[in-house]
Amino acid sequence: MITFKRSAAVVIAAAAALTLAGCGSETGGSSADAGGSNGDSVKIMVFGSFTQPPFALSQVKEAAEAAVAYVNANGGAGGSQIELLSCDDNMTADGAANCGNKAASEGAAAVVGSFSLFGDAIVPILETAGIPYILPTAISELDVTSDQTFAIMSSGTPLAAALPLLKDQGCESVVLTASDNPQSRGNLDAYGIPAAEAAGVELTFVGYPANTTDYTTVAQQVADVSNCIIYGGGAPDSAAIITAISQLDGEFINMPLSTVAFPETILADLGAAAEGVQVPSTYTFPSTGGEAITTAIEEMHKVNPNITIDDPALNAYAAVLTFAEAADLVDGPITAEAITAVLSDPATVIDTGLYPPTTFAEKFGWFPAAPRVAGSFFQVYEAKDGAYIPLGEWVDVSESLTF
Amino acid sequence: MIDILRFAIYGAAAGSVLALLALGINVVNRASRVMNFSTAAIAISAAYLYRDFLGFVPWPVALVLAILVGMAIGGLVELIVMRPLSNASTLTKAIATIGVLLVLQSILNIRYGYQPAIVPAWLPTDTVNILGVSVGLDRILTFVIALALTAVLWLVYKRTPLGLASTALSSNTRALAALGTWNPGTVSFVNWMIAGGLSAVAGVLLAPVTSLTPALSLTLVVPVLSVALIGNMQSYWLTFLGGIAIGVAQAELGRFASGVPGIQDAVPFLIVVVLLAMRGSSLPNRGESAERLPQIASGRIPWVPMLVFAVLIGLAIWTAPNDWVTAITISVTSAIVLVSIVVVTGYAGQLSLASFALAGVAALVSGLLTSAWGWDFLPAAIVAVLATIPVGLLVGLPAVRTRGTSLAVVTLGLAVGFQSMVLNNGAIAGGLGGLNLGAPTLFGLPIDYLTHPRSYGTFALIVLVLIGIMVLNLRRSATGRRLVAVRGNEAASAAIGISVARTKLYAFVVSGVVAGVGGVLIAFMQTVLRLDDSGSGGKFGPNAAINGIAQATTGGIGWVGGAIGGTAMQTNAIGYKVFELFSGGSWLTLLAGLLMLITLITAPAGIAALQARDMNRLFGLIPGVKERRERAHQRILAAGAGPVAPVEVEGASVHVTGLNVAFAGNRVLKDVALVIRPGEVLGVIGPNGAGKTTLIEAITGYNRPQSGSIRMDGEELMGTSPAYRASKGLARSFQSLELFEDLTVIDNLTVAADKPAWWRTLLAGVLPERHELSEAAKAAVAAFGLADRLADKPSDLSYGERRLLAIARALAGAPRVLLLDEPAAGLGATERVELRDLVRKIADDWGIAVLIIEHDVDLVMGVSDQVIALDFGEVIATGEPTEVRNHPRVISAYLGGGEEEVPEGAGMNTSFVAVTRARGQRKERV
Repeated sequence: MITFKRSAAVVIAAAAALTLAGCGSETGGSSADAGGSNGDSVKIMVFGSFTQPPFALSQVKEAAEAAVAYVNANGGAGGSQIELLSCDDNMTADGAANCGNKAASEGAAAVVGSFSLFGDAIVPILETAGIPYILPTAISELDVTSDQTFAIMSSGTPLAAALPLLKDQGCESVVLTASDNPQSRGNLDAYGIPAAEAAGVELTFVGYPANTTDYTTVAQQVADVSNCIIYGGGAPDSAAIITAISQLDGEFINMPLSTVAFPETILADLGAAAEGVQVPSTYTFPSTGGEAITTAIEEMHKVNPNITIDDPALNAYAAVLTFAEAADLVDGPITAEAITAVLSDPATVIDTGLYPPTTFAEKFGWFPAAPRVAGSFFQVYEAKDGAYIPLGEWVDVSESLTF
Repeated sequence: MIDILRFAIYGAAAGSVLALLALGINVVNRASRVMNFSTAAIAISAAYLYRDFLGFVPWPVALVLAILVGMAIGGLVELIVMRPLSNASTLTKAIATIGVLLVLQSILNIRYGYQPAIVPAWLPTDTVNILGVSVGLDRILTFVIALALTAVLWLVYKRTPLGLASTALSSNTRALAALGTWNPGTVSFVNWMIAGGLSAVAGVLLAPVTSLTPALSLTLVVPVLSVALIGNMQSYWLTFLGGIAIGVAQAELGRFASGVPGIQDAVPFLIVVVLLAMRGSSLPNRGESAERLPQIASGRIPWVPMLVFAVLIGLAIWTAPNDWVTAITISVTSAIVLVSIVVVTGYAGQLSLASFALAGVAALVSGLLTSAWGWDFLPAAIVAVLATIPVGLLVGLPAVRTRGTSLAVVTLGLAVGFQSMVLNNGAIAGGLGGLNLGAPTLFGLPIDYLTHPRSYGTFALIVLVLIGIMVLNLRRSATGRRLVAVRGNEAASAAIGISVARTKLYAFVVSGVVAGVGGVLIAFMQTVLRLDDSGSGGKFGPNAAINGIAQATTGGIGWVGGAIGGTAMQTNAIGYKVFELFSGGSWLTLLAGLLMLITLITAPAGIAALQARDMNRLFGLIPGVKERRERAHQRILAAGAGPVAPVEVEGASVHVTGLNVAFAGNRVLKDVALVIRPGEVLGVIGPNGAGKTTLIEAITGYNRPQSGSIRMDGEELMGTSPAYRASKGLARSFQSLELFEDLTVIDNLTVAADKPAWWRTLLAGVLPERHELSEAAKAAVAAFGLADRLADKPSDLSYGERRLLAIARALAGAPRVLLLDEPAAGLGATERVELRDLVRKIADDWGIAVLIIEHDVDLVMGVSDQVIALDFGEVIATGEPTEVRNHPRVISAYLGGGEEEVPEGAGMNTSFVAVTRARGQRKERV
């Protein structure tokens, strides 16, 4: 009898779960024809890897929430309030496809500000549904090639930016270290090698297995190649390598490709090891004190006082602002199609204050390997006392690189 | 050269930490016979706490506190999780430790987030010079600490009462309890605490050279398990050396072979695979008990629930929003892979963690054929699934010589190698660009997931239902009974003529094919297929394998429905999506981990096992179902009823000459010669340790004699396998019965007589046979009075009935020669008389040549035509029963002392004689 009760409890739990699942599906049984506004609101979706390592970036979702709150409080997007959907890919391609379908089902007018390794799984779905993909961190192949994608930063362009910047500091030989996987090797082949040739530096790749736990050997291998180091990995591995590097003899120039590797929140923990780290970014950082970034930081802190403010967070925040600006330019209902058309128009200039004013259609193609990444302006920031401080002026690397 | 040395030192330090964690696994295995997946999670928890403690106390105090916390976590895991599971299968216990891992990791995620935590070095990092190589002093000290702890452990477990009690506990819990000196629970608890402490030390040693993230809990699992296996989950020194060897190999490969993708990950594992395969044996050694596995289903197809399930899911696919359709399709496609685990692990008992890798093989092949060769979906899918056959065979090869947890880690190693060197290899799997799968069609109908997710989901559902039916058919077939027999007892399977190796390989191949179908369907959910870790999220990698077996076990690894239900916990699948409505991220994982633990503790054989009985009861309420079941029950009983035709076998004789068997230089049989003739009974007597069972094992092929000859009807059998000898008509029973506990009585008998044709084996999933008892089996059923017990499990029988079943099983295949090992042990006086008559009848009426070993000398003397007496492996007397009974050396062997004539009946009419040898004396106990 006890067994029966226990068993029945499991059945009831499963039934309850299914009932709830049914409740969850009340919003509709088929995908929307084209995303867009519904009366006074318009749906957009922030998507990415929020909870699963190696890129568990919950700040992407939080930053988007902050930006939506800000936009809605200031008149909305094209007069409509933004309704933000969020979807976690759980660090899987399935999850990304799931999110694409959710965006289509829910009638999202745009997917914004993602940081996901699985663009190739979501982009085809967004293409089919005609949903623009605004400011994804362009990582996968379709992220940088699809007509539906409007990217300002990618995993490849900072590498292209880093090489001439390092050369300017006297680095003839540069070592790129990252987890050894097709992603890294793809970045190396597609972006690193052409950029190195264009910049006139020798680039060597030192990879390490994804399950590396003791990074002292990796640090030694890296140091054996060069003292100019580009970090292409995530925070856990990059932080461990730079710690080990700091214990070796010699002077090193450390340059991560994004603040994802060393967000400001861990600079203090890294201490002396991180002092002087230089990071090129397409974004305006808090230390500049600009109005847009200051507001953004305030809004983000309203959502989470301990939010990690890094490139992905800024990217997500900026993506919502980008959508809102595009929506303001739409003549008529705010649909996915209309947003796509506005962003594809060479006359459209987006100026959020968080990245240099950009006309996507005009800037597309400056880096042939990533034809849909518009951001060619980079600012180098240097880590000092736990914060990133601007080092020099904004640089348009499309001018220093010839392909 | 300097570089080689330098990286060797770095590698040795890294390997020291792995060794410490693996030592913890070995300590736990000694105490609880469980492969502990949570050891790294305990280490990382302790490391985080060490970092927290640094904020309040000096580092030495923080260090001590962290180690104490590690010990406390270890102890708590034993108390809360392992103790309630003390009677559960080895697999269930191991999966429970995965639950512990998930819980700890989730707590760390919630408490510390995903950003890395930096832990300051606590060992001095000054540079020291060794043989011209500059390395950090911390590296050297890490090695020294691990070495010292290994030595301490060795001493503790070799010399102290606790260590000896721990070793005794792993061998026999009841025996330890009976001694009364140690409480098994306390010993287990202390061992878990020691293991927790070791993990904590490893954690604080690792923390400064890595950056702490909760994910390390999982990252470390695979390398640490491989190190533990090098030490055979027992030896501390081998474990330490294994850790060093793997650390050094990875460091050197990273430095000198970094151009080969994945080599750092794969090579150490391949070494482990080879080592374990070399170390293993084709059959378990005598006394080596099989690892207990969760119970399994009968294979009856539950048509009503299955159709209800299919219709409901089908309706959901066509009515739910697209994201829910995705979740359902993920569940369905993953379920197919989990069903493959039911075949290989549930039915065949092979703990394989390679199912997702095999799915990956099919995914890769179908992807390549479609993208590079432009093949259509269906031919590409078929070829891809067929491609899993050779790979399945390859994966199954280690299973021929390894089993249990060793096999689990070997197959996990193969999965790591496949992911690292093949799927992560851009040159093979398309790299960053992936493999473009286009838009598949099936017989002209579009089923591409991108634009027709509902069609694709429906197609996947139909495939799942068909696969489910085929797997259940397989379970009920003769081949399925053989799988279950091998799962239950390899030695007994070989004794009835089953080729254990071939059966295991068959399971791997079928499982591979099923997994391959799942792999193709998973692959075609993408338009661009990425198979590498970073691009696929490790869908076919080792973590998927670990999660997969955890899900299948929780759902019920012996049930197709259990595997399907287990899929609900798959990331992004339907259950996950349901939970996502209420919570997200780490809380979700914590909930999943807790649910897994609760499920395993309340239902160690999985939810399906728990539900099966209630569902049976529930469906029994449907009109007609009860009657149908009763008819099925009567059909089984009817199989053993009716007139019994007289059985007569073609007699065969066995001639044994000059047989010598030695173990570790100790001669157990010395120049033994005997003849077993058709229609005659040869009795073998001798005190304990005389070599009687060794004699049967030698004749039936279970040990390797050093010299001698065993000829059956003139054919030399030396060097042939037990299964071959059995196929020639040489059958045996076992002292310890060795029944197939997962099979019913009728299946125990049927499996012994089944000789399925190759095409039957091939089509087992489509054309399962009904129970057909052989004439010999029917005769045995009648003779041993088992007709009413045919539908029961052996565990439902009395001890006497179990004994009779063991003999009946040996007879079911109509053997020509039958060797009975203490068949009367435990039987009552009446039953003994009946047994004696039956043995006589078998020889007289059936014409079988019988050899019987028995301590009941009266029985032997009463039933035998000839008797031989063994003592210390030598034949000391041979002849007719009376001659042997009165032989002076026999009397001496049994009674000790002089060779005076024994009074009639003295010592020889006892029902049980056990002779112990102490200080050269022989004493008789009655």
